[in-house]
Amino acid sequence: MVKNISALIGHDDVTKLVQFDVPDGEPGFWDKQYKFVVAGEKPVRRLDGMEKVTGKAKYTYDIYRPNQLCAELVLCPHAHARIVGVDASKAEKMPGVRGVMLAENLDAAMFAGWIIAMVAADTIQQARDAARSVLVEYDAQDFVVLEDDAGKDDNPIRKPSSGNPSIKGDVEKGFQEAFAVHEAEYVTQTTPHNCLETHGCVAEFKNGELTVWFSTQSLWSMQQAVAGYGGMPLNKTRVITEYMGGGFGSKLFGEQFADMCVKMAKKIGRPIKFMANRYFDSVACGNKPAAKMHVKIGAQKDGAFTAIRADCLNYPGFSGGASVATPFRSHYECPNIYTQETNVYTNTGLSRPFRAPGRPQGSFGLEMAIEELCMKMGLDPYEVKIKNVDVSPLDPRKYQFEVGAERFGWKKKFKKHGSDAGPVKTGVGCAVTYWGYSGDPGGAVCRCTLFMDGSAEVAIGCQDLGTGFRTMAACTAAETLGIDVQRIQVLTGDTDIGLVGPLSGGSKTTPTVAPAIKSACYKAQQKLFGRIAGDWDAKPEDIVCRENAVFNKENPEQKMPWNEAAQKVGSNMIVALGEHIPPPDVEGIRIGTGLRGAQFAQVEVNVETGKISCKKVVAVQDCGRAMAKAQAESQICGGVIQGVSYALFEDRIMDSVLGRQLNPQMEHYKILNAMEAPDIEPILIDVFDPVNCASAKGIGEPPHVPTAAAVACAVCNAIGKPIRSLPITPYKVLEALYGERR
Amino acid sequence: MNKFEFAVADSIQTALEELNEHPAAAKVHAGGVDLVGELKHYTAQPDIVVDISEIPDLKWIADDAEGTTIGASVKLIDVIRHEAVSKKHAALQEAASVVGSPQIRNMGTIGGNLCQRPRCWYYRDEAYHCLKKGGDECFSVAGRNRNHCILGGGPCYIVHPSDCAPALIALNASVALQSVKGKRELPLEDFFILPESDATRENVLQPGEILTYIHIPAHAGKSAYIKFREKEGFDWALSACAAALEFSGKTCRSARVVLGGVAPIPWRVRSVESYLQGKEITEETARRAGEMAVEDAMPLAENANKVLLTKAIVKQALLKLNA
Repeated sequence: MVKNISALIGHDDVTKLVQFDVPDGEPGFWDKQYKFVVAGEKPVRRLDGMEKVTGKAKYTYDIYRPNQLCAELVLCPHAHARIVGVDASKAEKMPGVRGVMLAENLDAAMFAGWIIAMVAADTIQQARDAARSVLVEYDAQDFVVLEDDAGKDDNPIRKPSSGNPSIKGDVEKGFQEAFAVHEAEYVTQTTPHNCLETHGCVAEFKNGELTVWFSTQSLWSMQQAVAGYGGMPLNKTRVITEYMGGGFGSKLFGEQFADMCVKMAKKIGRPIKFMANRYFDSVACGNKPAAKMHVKIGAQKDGAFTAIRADCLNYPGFSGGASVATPFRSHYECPNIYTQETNVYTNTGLSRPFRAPGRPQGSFGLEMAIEELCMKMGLDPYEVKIKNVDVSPLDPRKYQFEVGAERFGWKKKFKKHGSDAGPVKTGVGCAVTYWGYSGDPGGAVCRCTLFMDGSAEVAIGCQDLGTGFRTMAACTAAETLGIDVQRIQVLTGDTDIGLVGPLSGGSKTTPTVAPAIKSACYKAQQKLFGRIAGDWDAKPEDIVCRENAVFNKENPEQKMPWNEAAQKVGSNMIVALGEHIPPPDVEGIRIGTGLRGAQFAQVEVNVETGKISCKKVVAVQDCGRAMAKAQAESQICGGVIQGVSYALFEDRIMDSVLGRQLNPQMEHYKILNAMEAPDIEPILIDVFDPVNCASAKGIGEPPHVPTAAAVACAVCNAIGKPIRSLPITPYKVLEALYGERR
Repeated sequence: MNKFEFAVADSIQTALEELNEHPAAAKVHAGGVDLVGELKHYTAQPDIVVDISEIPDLKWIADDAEGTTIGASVKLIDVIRHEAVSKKHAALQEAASVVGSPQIRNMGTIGGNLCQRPRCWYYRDEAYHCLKKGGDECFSVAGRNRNHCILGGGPCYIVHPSDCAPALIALNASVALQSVKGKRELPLEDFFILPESDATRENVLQPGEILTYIHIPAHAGKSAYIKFREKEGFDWALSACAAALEFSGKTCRSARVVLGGVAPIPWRVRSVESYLQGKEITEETARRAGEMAVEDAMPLAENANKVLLTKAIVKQALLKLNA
């Protein structure tokens, strides 16, 4: 059974009326004609904000279990070593020590920070003292930690591994057709995630069940992981992530330290807590990998691209792979594109996904190449870039570019490269972003419970990694039910809720969960309206609730307050489940552009000291429709801030002598502070796209993609010289301006 | 950190006696800003920590016609807020104001700022047994040295991290040092020593000896401190310049110019000082002074641009005094 609905899709004034089928009993689509009351309109304060600022919110770090032991790791100090022997006998006898466990994989340590053993003791200080007393004999091996040294044949780890190229059209022909061609190498740095809350967990066996409090972005896969570590059935394994201090992609995986915590907790019979210190977090818990991109781009006289080629070297650490080439293929229209990627290995910790994996790197290489091409041709990069996204009216890219440029004042601010008078020169840059739709049909089951006092509970087996997920969930429920957001209670962060939810990665949480919430709330309310429909001689689907008032659409005289209607819920409550059910994938009913956005950055560069100050960023972004405007804007600001930090400050510095990271603390690893943050203007553009019933898309990653590129282009515009590697430091500015003269 | 005894001294005398009992194995704690980091990273592993933060005799500021005297345990925030400092010793006030972060200025003391250990990332990592820790190698030479020194280096290439020290030397300050054996006073300039004389320490403090107060003589000049740091808060000087000038009309009568963040000690540039004598501070003299300040610079592989930067910072500091 299906019902056919019509919906107005598109953005701004560019719209199209489409029709599609929706399964019976499922909600319709929040199209352009549907005005939000709660979601996406007025800012709703973060529902758990008070808990967080008062310290009531319990993070994994705050968990203290009765009888709990503290764990510390013994780490290899060498960048590459054979492990000859481990002697823990002294450590085992130290005060407070309850157990020492050697790691698996003890043949060779592949980077400084490799886990050798875990020590559990009554206090963390005792555990640290004992960890220092574990004697390990190493046979140090040749190593390579610097990217420049790693591509050689004598790489002591393994030879580079090349992937197959991705080819569209014929780039050689494209370059021949070009009026101008630019070719250069662009380099990005490695940056650890540095989440506010470091990695860690607490493992406890009690009454035949295993519970792990885990700072994780992926409750359900972590349940499977820890059940495996502890040899436990899944139905006796519980993972809790009530509050979390960020992940950015670094907390999606099972962890060796968690494996050891679980096994030690089982062996010793007491709960074990391990929270990483900054050192371990920085060297061993993931990073955004460095890349070297050889980029060639050609354009016609009017700026239309004829060919783009990128040959990329990626540096994932001692193993694995990384990819940065997607932006070259997806950010601008071009008939001929060739990308090829090679992984090059170093004796450093493995990379992990980091807020739009590979995209900020590729975006930097691509946008800077375009910037330099424009500088060479004497063209305005904005004009060139917008020309190459002008595809079809329903595609929001051109519109976003125009809105952003208008708000930013591009036409007034843009001057010829390097033409501003010194010593403090102003420059502007722009860049685009793209992210594919990542909602996961069937990836979430949400439960809505209506109570007779008019309150409601929404339960989702998911985790709030700090994005404001709970508030988004509450807003979506309140919008669906037509009631105040304060009436909604959100349950999440616990596998015992028993409802599957997505991992928080790939910006898939909101597009997967919001439609499931909408579906569950709609179904629960329809059950309630079924009990009113008889009295009103109406069909349940014609009864709606808006702003706490229930009425019959067909006869608005028939109405009652929500509180009165809710009394019909009775003491048994009304419960319904919902899922993300995609509308049929029929040609022509979807926008089909993923998520798009454009950013504009303004910088000031002091050409005597090299000091760069990012003054302003205008960030235009679509996320379909925002379920919670303030939280969506906050995600944009967060992505921009992290992007400026990546552009100007952050850099993992490896020592070439002993192969250790020299800045694994916050002192020399520079992250921008409030003083360095620009004035950010987030602009959400609604795009009504029936990818799901809520028109919801994720926004965690896309706003982080173009910021560093826009800032780098702005610096180039200011000083008239390209800086082809990140981070753009004062030294590099001075080098670009005066290096040849020195 | 390792286990140690923590002794809270209530007078200079008791502090000195405690220190005298364990001269080699004791550390002095005032604000704890530097020491606690050293303890946590095992760079310092003392048997006893003597706390001097509660000693009343170290916590006062006096100002009279002779000059300004500041006890070693006076917190940076109290230095910044003191009227005599802000009216008479602008360079010190400006320097103390850009130390670390508000939290650090609330806890850190002026004495601690002068006696703090270097921030060299090799020194601060226990895995490197460098010259400063009695080893036989300075890892920065072959390693990563963007932050290291361009003047006065060898065999160790740290930079002195203090902001207050260059300002105080420009202001011709002296320090009093005390041990059970007695008290001595010396110009602050002579307090610091280069690694070529002893790479394991940065100053002349002997075991069992503490810095008790700092004296800035009265003067009729103007002073300024410019610190270049990559972040505007919570960051160390990549390059800094303190300048104190006396003028006759628009003409510079005498000058003291001291660089920070570029050498293992606060680096006085006498060539610049004599060059400025008898000159007006113009864009051109300031630029020339900047060039002279780094004439002897010997940059390492990754810090050649610190030379360019320092030129600009010296110029900025001098032009600030002309404004």
